[in-house]
Amino acid sequence: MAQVVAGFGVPHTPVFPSVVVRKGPDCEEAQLYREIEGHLDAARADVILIFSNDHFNTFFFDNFPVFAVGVATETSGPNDETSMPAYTLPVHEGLAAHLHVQGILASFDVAITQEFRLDHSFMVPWHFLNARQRTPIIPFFIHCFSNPLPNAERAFALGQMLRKAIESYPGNERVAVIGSGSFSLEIGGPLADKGERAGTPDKVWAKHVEDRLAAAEVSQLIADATGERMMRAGNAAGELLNWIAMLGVCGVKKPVILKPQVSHGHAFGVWI
Amino acid sequence: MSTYGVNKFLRTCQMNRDFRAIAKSDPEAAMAQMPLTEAEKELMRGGDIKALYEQGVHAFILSYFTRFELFGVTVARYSESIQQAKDWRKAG
Repeated sequence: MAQVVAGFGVPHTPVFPSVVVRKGPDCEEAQLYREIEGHLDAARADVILIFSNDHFNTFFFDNFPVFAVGVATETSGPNDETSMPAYTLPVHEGLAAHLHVQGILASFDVAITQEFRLDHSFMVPWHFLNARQRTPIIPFFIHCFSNPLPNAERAFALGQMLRKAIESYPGNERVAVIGSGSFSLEIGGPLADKGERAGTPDKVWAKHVEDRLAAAEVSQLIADATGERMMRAGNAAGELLNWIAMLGVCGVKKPVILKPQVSHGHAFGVWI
Repeated sequence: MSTYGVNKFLRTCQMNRDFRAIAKSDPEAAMAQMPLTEAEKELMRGGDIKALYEQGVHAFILSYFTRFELFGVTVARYSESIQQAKDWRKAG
């Protein structure tokens, strides 16, 4: 049976690849991703399930599933002109298809996409964590970038369901899980600081999230992370749901590492 | 006003470089290809970011006005306009 071996939380800030090119391999961003990459390598994963949210590049308002899984042999990106190398990525089609079917059978109504490209929300983590190893991925899309947001308890339950589905897969795959995104960020909206294009975080909420994660108080975090509270923390704050889904897969426990970047409203974390 | 057409116009600029070039060189021709009402076209011509946001255009997509320098909207003008927008998340 396939098994879940580790969980990770990282941001997908689209400027980070170019920041690292400009500032060099010793800059804070490079070091943080490298530390996570080391733990990912140590997990010896055969597959990486990634929860992330498209930013109207793969999906749009003509057709926007709340939950969707990519089922294909490969995909590519970035499809949003993020300043970074272009990649073709292997997808673990067998397990991805299994998760789709098991999701439907478990009443989660997960949509499927069999031809798709990925934006920076998947590609930035790939670039820093997996471009060298090229471990096959399963892209799992959670629509958490516009109102109404899916409920936090639903995102957690989705993760719990997917863990069972992984454990029912007839293979020996070791599966790592990544939740990708910010805890708090307003991009282009009225809560952003004047002239700020990269986004403005609600530092009080970001610290609250970080403290709940550090203490493994996931039930409290889920109770506090109402759609209204997350939206008040910025129009990208729903990306926390990617982390909550990851925790649903990994189970509730304290992180081995949780390092915030306070000015960005996000963190880097490892759950083993 | 559904604002779907405005979101679609801006998102198409992001995804399609040919359309983006038309939007920059001949915005009227670009708007004619999109399902926009006359009222929406007028707000876009005026670069009225505050009004477009209040009507429901997604802020991330709205910021493409500055990403692609559409309708003469600069970062400074965008920022000033969006900060005046009514928003249920703001105090008062």
